Amino acid sequence: MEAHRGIGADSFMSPTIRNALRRLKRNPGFSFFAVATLALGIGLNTALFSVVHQVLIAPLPIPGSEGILMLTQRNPRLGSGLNSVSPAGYLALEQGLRTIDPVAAFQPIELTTIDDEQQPRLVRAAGVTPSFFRLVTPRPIRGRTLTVEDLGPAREYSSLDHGNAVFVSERLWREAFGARENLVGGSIHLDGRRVTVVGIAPEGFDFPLRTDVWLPLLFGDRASVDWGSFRLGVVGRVQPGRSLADAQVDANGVAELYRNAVPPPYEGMTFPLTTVKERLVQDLRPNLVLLFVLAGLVLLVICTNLASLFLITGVVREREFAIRVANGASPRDLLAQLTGEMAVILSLASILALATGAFGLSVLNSIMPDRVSFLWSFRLDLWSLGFCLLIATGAGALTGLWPVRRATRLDLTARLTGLGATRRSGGQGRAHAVFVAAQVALAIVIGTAAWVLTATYMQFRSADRGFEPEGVAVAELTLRRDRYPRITEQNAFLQSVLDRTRASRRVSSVAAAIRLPIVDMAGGIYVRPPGVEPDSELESIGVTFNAVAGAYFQTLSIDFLEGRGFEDLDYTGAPPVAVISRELRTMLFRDEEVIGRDLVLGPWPDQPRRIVGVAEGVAQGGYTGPPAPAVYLPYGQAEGQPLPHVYVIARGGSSADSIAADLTDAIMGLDPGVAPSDLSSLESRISRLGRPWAAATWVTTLIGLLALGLALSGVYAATSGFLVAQASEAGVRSALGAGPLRLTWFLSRRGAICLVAGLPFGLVGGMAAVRLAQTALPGADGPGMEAAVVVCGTVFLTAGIAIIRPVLSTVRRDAMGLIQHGLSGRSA
Amino acid sequence: MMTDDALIRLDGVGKVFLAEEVETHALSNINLSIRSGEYVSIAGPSGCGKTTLLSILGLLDGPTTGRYLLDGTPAENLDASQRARVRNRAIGFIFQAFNLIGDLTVYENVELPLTYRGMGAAERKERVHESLERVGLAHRTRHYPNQLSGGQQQRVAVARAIVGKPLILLADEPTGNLDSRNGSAVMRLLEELHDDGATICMVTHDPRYSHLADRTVHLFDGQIVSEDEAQRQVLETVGP
Repeated sequence: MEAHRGIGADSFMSPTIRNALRRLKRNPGFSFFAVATLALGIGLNTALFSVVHQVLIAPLPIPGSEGILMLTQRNPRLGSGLNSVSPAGYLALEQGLRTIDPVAAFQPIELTTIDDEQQPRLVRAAGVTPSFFRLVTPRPIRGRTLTVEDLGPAREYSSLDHGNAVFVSERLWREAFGARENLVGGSIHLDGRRVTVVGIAPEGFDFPLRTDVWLPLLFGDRASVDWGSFRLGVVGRVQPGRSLADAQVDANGVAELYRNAVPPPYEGMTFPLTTVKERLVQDLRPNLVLLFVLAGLVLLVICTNLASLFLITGVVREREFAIRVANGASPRDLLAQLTGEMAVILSLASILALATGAFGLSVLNSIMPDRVSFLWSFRLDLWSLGFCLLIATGAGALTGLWPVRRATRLDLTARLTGLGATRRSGGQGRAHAVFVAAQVALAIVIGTAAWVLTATYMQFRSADRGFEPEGVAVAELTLRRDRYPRITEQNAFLQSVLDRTRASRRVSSVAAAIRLPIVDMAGGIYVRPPGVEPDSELESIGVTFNAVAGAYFQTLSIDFLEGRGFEDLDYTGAPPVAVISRELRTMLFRDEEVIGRDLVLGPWPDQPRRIVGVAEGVAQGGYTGPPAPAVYLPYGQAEGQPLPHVYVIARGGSSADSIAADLTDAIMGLDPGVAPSDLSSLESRISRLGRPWAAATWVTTLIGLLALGLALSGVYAATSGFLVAQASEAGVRSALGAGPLRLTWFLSRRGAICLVAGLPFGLVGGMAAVRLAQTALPGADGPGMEAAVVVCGTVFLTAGIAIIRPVLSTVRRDAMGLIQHGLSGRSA
Repeated sequence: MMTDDALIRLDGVGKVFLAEEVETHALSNINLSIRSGEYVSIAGPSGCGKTTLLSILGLLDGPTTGRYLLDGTPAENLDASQRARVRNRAIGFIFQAFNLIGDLTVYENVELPLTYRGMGAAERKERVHESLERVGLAHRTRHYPNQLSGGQQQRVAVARAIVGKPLILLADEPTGNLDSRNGSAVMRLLEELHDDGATICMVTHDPRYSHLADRTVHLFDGQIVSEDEAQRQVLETVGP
C-alpha cells in the first residue's frame, strides 16, 4: 500500500493528464461543449472585464492626469448641462481657491490656417491661460511652451488674439508644414493674421480634445463681471494631501464669497468639481455598468453550465467511480482524476479564450467612437483573464467535488449490482432540479436584458427626431475674422452663398445655421417673456439658441405648428423676430396664444423679439433625451460677438454628395479663403455621432446573443441531463406497466416542474434587468414584457427540445436495459 | 412439455444481441410451457441467458425469433403500448435489486401499477393495504425504501408485484441481495403465494431455492437442457 502511494505520488500528474485527455477524446461531444462554452464565456468576460477595468478602475492613460480636476459652473436658474465656466467664474476660482493650484482655463475654438501647400486648413485651437502649461507640462520636441511673456495687451475683456505666439501640435507640424525644422521661430497664418510658432508639442499631446494650436488667453477688466458667457473649460490640480472633498468645500466657499456679487439670473451658482477621469467616463459609465452586469450574468451562466456539466458527469460516471473506489481509489485519487480532467478542459479553454477575447477586443476597438478610441485602445487584461478563470475553476471545483463525495459515500454493492434505483434521489435530484431552474431563470434574465438593451439602443438611433436628415448636405465654414469682423459681413456673405447655391438645379432649398440638430449641444442662452422679472415665479429658462439664414426649417423638414418661419424681410433689418420650439412654447406659455407675443433673450435684455412661429422640437446634443426647448433668430439679427463657425445646409433631388459639391463651388467661388470643411451628408454626420450607440447596439446584441446561446445550451444540457438521471426510474415504471405515453408524461412533467420553478425567478430577474436598463439609460423604453414573453417562449422551446431526446430514448429502450444501465449505459 | 392449457408458451424462441458488429446469441430455440398455478424455476450458470429469458417472458424485451403465446394470445409482435398494458395487467415483477422508486413511499410504490391501470383511488387503497398486509408491511406505508431493510424492501417489491393480481409472477434472483434469513422469508412468501394459486416463474442459481419449485428448467449457453445434461456441461466447463 505504501509502495503504491509512493508510485502514485511520483507520477501523479502525467497519467492523470493522459487519462483526462483520453477521456476527452472518447467523448468529443462533451469535450467540445465544455471547452467551447468555457472559451466563449471566459473570452467574452475577459474582454468585457478588460474594458471595464481600463475605463472605470485603472488610471487614465494620460501621464500626469492624476489629481487633475475639472471645475464647472452651475446656475440653478439656467438649468443643468452647462459644463463650462464664465470668465468671472474662472477669475473667482483662480483668486479664491486654496486647495487647487494651478487653476487654468482654456477656450476651444476652430480656426483656419494656411498650410505649406497654400491650402486653407481648419484646425482645432485652444486659447489657454498662462497657468495652463504649469498644469499640463508637455516636453516640447522643438522650442518651448507658451509663457506669460507671450501675452500681449488685452484688447477685449476676453479674446483669443492676444500676442502673436502659438504652440502647435506635432501632428499639425508634420501634416500641414512637412515637419520643417524652421517652423519654430517662423510664422504661420492663423485666422487671417500671422503668428509666431514658439514650440512644438510632443507626439500625442493634444489636450484638450485633439487641439492642434494653443494660443494665449487673457482677460480684460470686464471679464470679472461676465457671469453669463459659459465658454471656458477650467482645470486645476488638487494640492498634495488634499482630497476631492476638500477641494469641493473650498470651491463652495468661493461660490459663497461671491453670492452677493453675482447678478440675476446667475445668482445661486455653484462650482461642482469632478476628476478629469470622471468627466471623461461619466457618459460611458451607464453603458459600461450595464455591460458589466451582462458580463457578470454571462460568467454566472458559465459557472452554472460548468457545474451542471460536472453534476451530470458525476451521475453518468457514478458506476465508474464506484468501480474505482471498489478497486482501492481514495477520495484523493478521485479528486486528482477530476482535477486533471478539469485542468485539461480549463487549459484548452484558456488558450481559446485568449484568442476569443483578443478577437472581441479588436472588434470593440474598431467600432468605438472617437472620444473613446482617442483615450483607450483596449487590450486583453491578464488579471481579468485570471479572475474569470478563478471563478470558473471555483465553480468547477465545487461541483467537481460532488461526484467524489458521492462516490466515497456510495453503497458499492448496491451501485455495482444495480441497486441504485432503490436509493432515494434526495440531494442529487434536488441539485439537478435546482440547476435546471437556475439555468432557466438565468436564460430568461439574460435574454430579456439583452433584448431590452438592444431595442433601447436601436430606439435611440431610429427615434423620430423632429426633422429629416436624409438627403441634406452640410458644409462647415469657419469665417475668418479679418475678413468678416462683424455679424453684418458674415450675414452678407452667407446670403450670397445661399443665393449662389439656390441657383443650382439640384438644390431645392438651402440655409445656414450656427447649430445643427443632434450634432451640436443643447443650451446657449436663457429667455423669459417680457415683463417677467428674473426673480418672479416664472423663472428664466435655459434654451438652445440658433441663428439661421435661408430656408432652415424647410431644408431640414421641421414642421411648423403655428405661425410662420423666417421671410426675406426678417433677414434685412425688420423688427426683431423669433421662432420658438414646441417645448419652449409649452414651458413659457402653456395653452395661451403665442403668435405675436414678445420674448426677451438674455444677451439682448432691452430688445424684445416678436414670436412669429412655433416649430416642432428637435433633439440636441445626441440621441437621448427629449427635444430641447429652442429659440431661433434670423442670422442678421443675432447681434453681438461674430460667430466664427457656421453650417451651410442644402437639400435637393440629387444625392447629398452632389449637392455638397454645389455648396463647395458656391463657397469657393465667393471666397477661396473660406475653407468649407467636413463636407458630408447630415445623415452621415448623425450616423458618425451615433457610433457609440451603434457600437453599444452591436456589442450588446453580440453579447446578448452569446449569453443567450450559452444560457440556452445550459438549459438544454441541464434539462437533458436531469432526465437522463431519471431513466432508471422510468425503466422500473415501464416494467410495472407504464406505456410510452405514461413514460413521456412522467419525464416531461419532471422536466416541466423544474422549468416552471425557474420561471418566476427569471421573470422577476428580467424585470429587474429592464428596470436597471431604464435607470441607467434615461429615455429607455424598451419592450420589457414582450421581450420577457418571447424569451420565455424561446427558453421553453429549447427545454422542450431537450426533453424530447431523452424521452424518445427512454421510450425506445427496453425496460431492463434502463433499469440496469440507465440511458448512459449500453443495452445488453 | 407442451400442453394446450399453458399460460405461457414459447416455441423456438431465440434472442440475438448485436453490438458493434458482434452477434451474441443469448437464447436459442427455447421451447417452454408454463401452466397456470405452476411454480417454475429457471436455473443455470451466470451468463446462460436466464435474465434474458425472464425479460422476454415479462415482455420487457422481445424475441428475435420464435413465437410467444401469453394466455393463448401471441405476444411476440406487440407494440410498446400493448406490451406495457399486458405487463401491467398480466405480469408481476420481483427484481433482484428490488427496484423500488426512492422518491416514493412504500404505499406509493405498491400503488404504482394500479395507477397505470387507471383504477379508482378507493379500490387502489384497498388493494394496496391488502397487498401490504399480505407481506406483513401494512405498518410501513409511509416509509421510504431507504428507511427499510433489504428484506423489507424485497417484501414491498413482492407486494407491488401481486397488487395487480397478475397472471404470473416473474422473479429474477429475488434472494440475490438478501442474507439467508431474509432470503428464506421471501421464499416462504413466494411459496405461500403459490399455495394460494399464483403462477410463479423464478430465476435462481441457488439450488436451495430452485428445488422449492414444481419444476426446474435448466439453461446452458442459451439453450434448455436436461438436469443431467446441465450437470455434465457444468462439470466439463469447470473441470474434474
